[in-house]
Amino acid sequence: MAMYEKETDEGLMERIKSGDHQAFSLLVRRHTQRFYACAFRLCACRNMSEDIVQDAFLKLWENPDRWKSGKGAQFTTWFYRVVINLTIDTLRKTKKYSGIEALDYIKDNVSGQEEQLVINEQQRILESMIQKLPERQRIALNLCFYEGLSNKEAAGVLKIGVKGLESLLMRAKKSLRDDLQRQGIL
Amino acid sequence: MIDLLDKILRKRAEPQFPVNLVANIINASKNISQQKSCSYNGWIISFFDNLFLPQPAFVLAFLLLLGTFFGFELENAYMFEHDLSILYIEDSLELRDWL
Repeated sequence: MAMYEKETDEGLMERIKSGDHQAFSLLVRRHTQRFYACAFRLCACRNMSEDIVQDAFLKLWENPDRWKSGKGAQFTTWFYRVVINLTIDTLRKTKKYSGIEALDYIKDNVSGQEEQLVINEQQRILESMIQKLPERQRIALNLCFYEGLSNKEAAGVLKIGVKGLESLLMRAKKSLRDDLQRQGIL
Repeated sequence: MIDLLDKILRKRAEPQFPVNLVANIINASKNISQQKSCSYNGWIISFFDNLFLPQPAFVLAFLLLLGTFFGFELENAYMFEHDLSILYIEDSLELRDWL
């Protein structure tokens, strides 16, 4: 597997198309954490996020021809779209969205110090506010702030223009700012 | 204020990653065989995906050559059209012939 370490994602995808399971394993190792985090931030459910990421990767292995190389397409941009669409579909089918689990892992970080407690409380409030944002605003915020995508890449994932993405981000930040001001955090 | 909001947003906690997820995915994939698309639509899509037009510079050079060749040809045709010696004038036609 070490021989593929320097291979790009797109190069690995070409190998996967020819049935190379080692290339697939490397791609899974390289990106599972990132896409799990992406799914979890959207659906706030551990089991659902695990299923979504597993499903996305298994579909990729089963039918790698869905990935179209060329025209400068990036694997991660395309796979973000796959994971996000799967997450939205799953949420709509199960109608299970509480955002409660998203708050659970914050509790684990409590160190007992007062400052840490304040930070944790702020994070809990922030998390619940983010989970209350409309779906597209939440996706835009997650992609740009937490997945490290540029505005252009995030717009590509959402299949909208850069201006549209900026508008979503602006509205998300405005409602977060208003809520945080109401809570006395800002 | 925006900077403070950004700062708070950046502090958002990272979700904990399930350690066995990678192994689960890899193991599950071993039981799945790959599908090869052989549909008509798939063939058309892959045909156009693999169809690359030549570099613009080659296209331009080709058009220039084509233009030069046809330019000469057209010039010859133009000269032929304006060679008055080939024009035939019916001298015998007069106004009364038309009346």
